Amino acid sequence: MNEWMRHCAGLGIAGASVFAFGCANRSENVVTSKIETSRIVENSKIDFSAQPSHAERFGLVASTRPTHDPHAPDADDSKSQFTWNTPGGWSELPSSSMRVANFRPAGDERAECYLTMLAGEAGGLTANINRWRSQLSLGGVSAADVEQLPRVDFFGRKAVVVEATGTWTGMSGGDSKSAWALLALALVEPGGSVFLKMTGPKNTVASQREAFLALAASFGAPGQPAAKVDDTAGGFAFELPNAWRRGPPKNSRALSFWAGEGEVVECYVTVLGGTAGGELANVNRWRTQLGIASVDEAAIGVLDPFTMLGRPAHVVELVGETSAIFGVTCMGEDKSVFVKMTGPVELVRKQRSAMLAFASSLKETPTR
Amino acid sequence: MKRFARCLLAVFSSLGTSCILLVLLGLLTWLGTLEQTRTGLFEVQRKYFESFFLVHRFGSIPIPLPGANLVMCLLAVNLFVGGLVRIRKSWATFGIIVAHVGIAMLLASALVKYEWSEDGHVTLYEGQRADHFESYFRWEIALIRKEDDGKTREWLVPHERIEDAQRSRVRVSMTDVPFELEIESLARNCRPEWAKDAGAHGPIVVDGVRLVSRAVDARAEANIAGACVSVVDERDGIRRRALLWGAEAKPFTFFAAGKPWALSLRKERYEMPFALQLARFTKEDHPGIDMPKSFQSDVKVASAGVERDVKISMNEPLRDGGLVLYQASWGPSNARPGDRLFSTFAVVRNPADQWPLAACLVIAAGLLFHFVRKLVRYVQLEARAA
Repeated sequence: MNEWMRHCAGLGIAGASVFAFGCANRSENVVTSKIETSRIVENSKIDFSAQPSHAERFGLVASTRPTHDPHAPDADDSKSQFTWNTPGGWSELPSSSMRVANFRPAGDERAECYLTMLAGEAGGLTANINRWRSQLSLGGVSAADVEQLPRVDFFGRKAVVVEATGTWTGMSGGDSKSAWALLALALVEPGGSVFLKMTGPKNTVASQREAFLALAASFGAPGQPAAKVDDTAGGFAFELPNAWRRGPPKNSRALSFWAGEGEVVECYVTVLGGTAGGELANVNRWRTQLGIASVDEAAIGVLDPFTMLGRPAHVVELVGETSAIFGVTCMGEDKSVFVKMTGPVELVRKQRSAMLAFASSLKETPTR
Repeated sequence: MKRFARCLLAVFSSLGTSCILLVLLGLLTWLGTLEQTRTGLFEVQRKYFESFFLVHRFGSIPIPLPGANLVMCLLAVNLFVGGLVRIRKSWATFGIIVAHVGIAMLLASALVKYEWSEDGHVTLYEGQRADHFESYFRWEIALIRKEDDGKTREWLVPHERIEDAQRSRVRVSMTDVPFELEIESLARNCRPEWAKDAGAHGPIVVDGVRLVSRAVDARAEANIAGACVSVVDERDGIRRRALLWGAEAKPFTFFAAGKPWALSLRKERYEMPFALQLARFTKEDHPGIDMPKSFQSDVKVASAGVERDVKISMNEPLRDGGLVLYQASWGPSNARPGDRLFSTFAVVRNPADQWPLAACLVIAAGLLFHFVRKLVRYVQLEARAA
């Protein structure tokens, strides 16, 4: 009986519902609500300094990441068990019998990028490169020319980097598009060949070059997690801190990142010839950007020493009214390298240690 | 009009109405009990006992019925009008009126428990300590800020506001918080997975991960909710989007307005006025089998700097600070001898905890008065007749 009676609160529920919805004003399909109270908790176990990714928070591990669309009718499970990190702004497309991994690069829907695997040498390295060149209405190259092409790491081996620009005639030769470009990696070996190929409008391919190389470096062998930490681009190898992502490429920058959540704190690497006007001039230029007064040579002498690229460097920390710059200057006679992080003061401070770890991990690796 | 009102009053106060309503309650209880073989307790409670109307399916035949909520409301009106207002007031009906007052107290205690009580559980391994208990199925979004003194401050978005996100976006502002939260979507039961692509109509993908909805489990406590929440800072135009999942290992952390913050979707938490530490859990099995004969927990209850030892067993709950803690269960269920065990206490905060006892005493007193008086009058009549 008592159990029944507990349910007699119907009228009370109706009243409470009216009250609750009275607190929530609906307008344009958005319910608004105000929380007036808060409470203090003495012993919180939250690690606020950690900024785990969503995958880490949810217990997803990179090796469990699906690498193909299970609904794609032509998917070849035996080939597609690779892992990779899709660059920001790129989208993954269903794989097919020929394309083990298939992507649409950022910037232009006409651009495409895909990974193919063929048995044996697939006709040979030079033949494949010349086939690609013919698709761009270009003449063939010799084996000696191919030997001169740059190499990058790809599936743990050295793959040839092929770049070409011309008029695209397509694989069937019936499709003509001018100012088209190709960027591809070719790994040809008797045991099997792998090709990663990106084609599209010239400007798009140029702007996605770093992303393409990062994608190539991220490919992992079956059962291995994607190479998430070590990265190679812009002539550098580096360790990408957690919660950092590639930022939009810019002409003057060798590398560009968003540091932390959102697109608020930007960090980039710049390489300039010679001494680039000197360390003092560069530091004062940064100070001007923050609206703070310039300093003289004595201020350079008290900067914190640092080592980057195996050379002596300085740590520069500048705080403006709302923004901050945290950077590393590495001056040299042949060239000078700058790592610079900018953004709101608090957020920049938050990323200081990550930035220093990134700067110390930088290594020069020629990509051309 | 007066005639209609009198007629209505007569219907609401009649004994026949009482009988019909009691029969309906009995029917609903029977049907609701049978329904539990197919669905969970939570769903049955919502459908049969917390509703005004329902459709019960007898095979393929739909049968519309009044919900227990409606029936109980009508019964309360019937009791008040017939048993307290319109009843003839005399010594002959005094005991009946007192009994009706007792029943009204029972109804009031049920209303208070339904509306203002909090149910949940606290689970502890030996040596562990807790100062709050958690709901079985209600969720909350906690916005947590780290303070300069090392403590944390929490703003809590209640279950009802989160549920609103199933129908529309929910924008939540909080006192002393320089940004707003926008709950973009809610899944009552979901699991995270890597996103293959970001479809226009699929679940929202954040950081390469999405929350994929699953069928809602009839056992409400088995569902794991998930939500997509954005931190919207109008001042600088920053919008941080995060997925929150009820079983996440770590909260979403970010930095805003010079402070570190965290966002977490979790079961509703209720503070206890004391800290509870499990000192020892003991379980006695029936001879020769694994079935427990009895189990109990030795706990330390600390409040205002004073600590005391208490034993909680199946029939000996702990009552303290308006809470009742029952020994509910233990685990892991597949533990082998020597394995570390945990103890689970069902916790109820019911302001009307002792009201049913008082109501029963009032009802008993009223009925005792009534029947003793009847007995005395009967004996007197018999004596006169003799």
